[in-house]
Amino acid sequence: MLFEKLEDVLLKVQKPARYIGGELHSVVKERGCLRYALCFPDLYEIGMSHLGSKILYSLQNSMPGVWCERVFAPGADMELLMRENKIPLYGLESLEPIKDFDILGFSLQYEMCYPTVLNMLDLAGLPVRSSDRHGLSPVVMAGGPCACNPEPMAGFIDLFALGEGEEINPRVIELYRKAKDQALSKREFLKLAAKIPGVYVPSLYDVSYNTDGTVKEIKAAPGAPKTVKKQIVTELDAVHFPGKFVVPYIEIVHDRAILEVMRGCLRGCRFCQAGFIYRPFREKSPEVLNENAKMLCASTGYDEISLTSLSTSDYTKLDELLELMLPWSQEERVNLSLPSLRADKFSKKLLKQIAKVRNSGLTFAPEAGSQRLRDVINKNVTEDEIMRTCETAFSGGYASVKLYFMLGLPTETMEDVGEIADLCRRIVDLYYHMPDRPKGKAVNVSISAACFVPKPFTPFEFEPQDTMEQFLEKQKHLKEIIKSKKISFKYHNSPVSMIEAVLARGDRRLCDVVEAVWKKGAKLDGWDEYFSIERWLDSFKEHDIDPAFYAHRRREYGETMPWSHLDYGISREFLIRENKNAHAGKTTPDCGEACSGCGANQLTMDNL
Amino acid sequence: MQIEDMPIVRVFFKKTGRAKYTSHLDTVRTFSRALKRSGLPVWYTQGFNPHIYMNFALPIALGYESGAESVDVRLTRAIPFEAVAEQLNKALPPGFRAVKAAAPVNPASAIAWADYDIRLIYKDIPISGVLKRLQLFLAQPVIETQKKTKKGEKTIDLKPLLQVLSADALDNALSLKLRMASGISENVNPTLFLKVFYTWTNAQPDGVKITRTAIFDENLNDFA
Repeated sequence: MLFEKLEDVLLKVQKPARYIGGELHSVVKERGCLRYALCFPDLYEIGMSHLGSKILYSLQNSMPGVWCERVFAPGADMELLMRENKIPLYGLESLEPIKDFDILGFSLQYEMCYPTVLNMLDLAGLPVRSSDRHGLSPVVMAGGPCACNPEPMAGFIDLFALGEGEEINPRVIELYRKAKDQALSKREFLKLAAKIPGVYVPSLYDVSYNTDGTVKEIKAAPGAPKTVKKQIVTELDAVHFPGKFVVPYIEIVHDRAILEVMRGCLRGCRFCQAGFIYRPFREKSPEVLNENAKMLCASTGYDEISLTSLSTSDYTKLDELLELMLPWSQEERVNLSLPSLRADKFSKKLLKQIAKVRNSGLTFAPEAGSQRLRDVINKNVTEDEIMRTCETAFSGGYASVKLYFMLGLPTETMEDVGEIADLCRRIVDLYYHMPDRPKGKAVNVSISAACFVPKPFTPFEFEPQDTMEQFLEKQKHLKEIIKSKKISFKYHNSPVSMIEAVLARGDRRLCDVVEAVWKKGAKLDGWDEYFSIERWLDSFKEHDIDPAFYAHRRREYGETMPWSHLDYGISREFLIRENKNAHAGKTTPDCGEACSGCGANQLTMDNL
Repeated sequence: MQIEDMPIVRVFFKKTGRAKYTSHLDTVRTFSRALKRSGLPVWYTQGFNPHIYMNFALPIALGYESGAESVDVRLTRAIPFEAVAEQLNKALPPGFRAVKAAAPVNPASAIAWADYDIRLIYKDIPISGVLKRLQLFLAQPVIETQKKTKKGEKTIDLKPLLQVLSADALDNALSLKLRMASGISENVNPTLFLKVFYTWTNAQPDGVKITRTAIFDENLNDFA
């Protein structure tokens, strides 16, 4: 155990409670268990806020003879002291080095975490390359949204779990247990693992390329499936529910109880990867959710519970759920919060119900300034709806709204960009024309403009991303035409978005770049203070790779994508149809109105 | 029940082991959640943003352990003191432990002194030498240092603000019992004293363990 060594360094670092474990409801088991390290490649505050990790932590610890621990990336100050004092990366529950564990499971939430994964393997004292780790243990697996195109990480991870971990992880763990008993080699284990539905073993696939640099063929080794299909939980009411969150001492990003009301999203916003890869739409019943919520509040002592999903106001039984929850939550002074509200679903009644508990800020995401462009991306929200929503908010006592937009959406022109400013001006005007606006308060419309990143398994997977120059021009234009002090404008760093775009649709030739970038010191690249574009550009150059080929190139409909052997239930034909609709400015009804035949329903059929 | 009829209960608690890495702000949050889990009928402030009323007397700094912490809470109905401590202990996370609950006797402003157990670990220097240097250090007529205050830095003499109750050389550590001025009018903490000592001796210990053992009023009666 590293306790003594940690005692010597912890008082020299920021927020030492990140590194010592011992929180309420953290699980301690006996050492003979199969040891699983649930690794989150970001700081404690971020990783501890992640619901998926809480679910897997609880589920895997509910398995007899399995001890699942948490591991996060240390901050720069702690990493330095760990390296100086030869403290290898350890599990927070046992304070024992994870290099001696059986399985390490990384959560890949965001492309920019890739160098951090390598850094964590290295801090653990393990070779970063999968081919340099010869023994059966530890097996390094990874899952999460980035697993839908994990090719830039193919050289480092032994196996990927595609889809929902509740279905896959227990099977991998059970198979590993057998493999260990039978003293199988790593290769033998991986070959067997590849037969588990949803498990993708990259070393069993051979990729060849055309002279123009595109993928020619992805060939599966004998015994490995030609395509790997993502796995889902069919019956959401029966899904494992973590009734006891580990309650942190330090404040984390989402420091509250989280209730997952549904998976998938009814909307078909064409830019949104989550909207496609988490299909089909599945809801939990209000009764089950209400019981979950009570249990969670009682076990954690949290005074806030968030009803979370991709679009909680689309939850079809929201009124019923609120009616069940409001009486006791008010009695027990628990605040309800509903993130990701949609402008078109925002009713006065809903506002009142949340306001009964507490006023928190209001945020909406029109994504684009003009109706034309909102039709292109299939964000089925009209300006009327946005204005009505703001009106409701203002008459409900809110004087500030926050709006999210994206720059660089396919077909976007400078006029579209200009309309972002126009829309915000009209919202400011609306406020001052309302007789019942909050008295004595100045309105504040704050807009945040992200840079669009085309992602796999969306209708925009074929689209080029704007270049950094184009983004800069658009940001500059928007800054110039926003004159009002009532409107505040923030925008994202375009170099980060460019790298994100390269990795999102990258192939396995990028493994060399990811390794080179990490060797140059990259880690926690999702944080502006850690990110360096030069490090990435130098590494591309060293390996003779043109980032523009990945970020700024339009793909033909018939091109073999680096992820063509991975099946997320969304057919290529559907994506092409939707891409054509986008360019024609034609919207597609949401899944609640009509089925557009994406193919995801088949995933439910598979499980019957 | 009128607010003036709602009893204030002072809970004395220990903060030990890994809990020492919990800052005061995080300790406040920890108690707020523990009180909520405990089901005790705690009173909430009535402002725009209601929260559980808690008042910590002389909260311990991050990195120190303590056997002498206290927090006042207000209950909306009377509960036997033993039951308060017992129910809270069922809800507190590891490292935090309620020792007893009682009606407050002194206001927090009565606190004047605190005792600390300090262990300085030296791996490469003989402890007898460190002890000798400490005795010389303490024999100075004044021990001056700079202290940061809200109004800027000022020079203070540590000598009247502390007493060394005992100093012993152990195997690889110097064990000190220190009494330090701790309260509203005069307040110094062991870290400041130790910093001056390290500079004077020109030797950093390899490890430091500090535990607060008691808090007193100006007549050295236990804070109650």
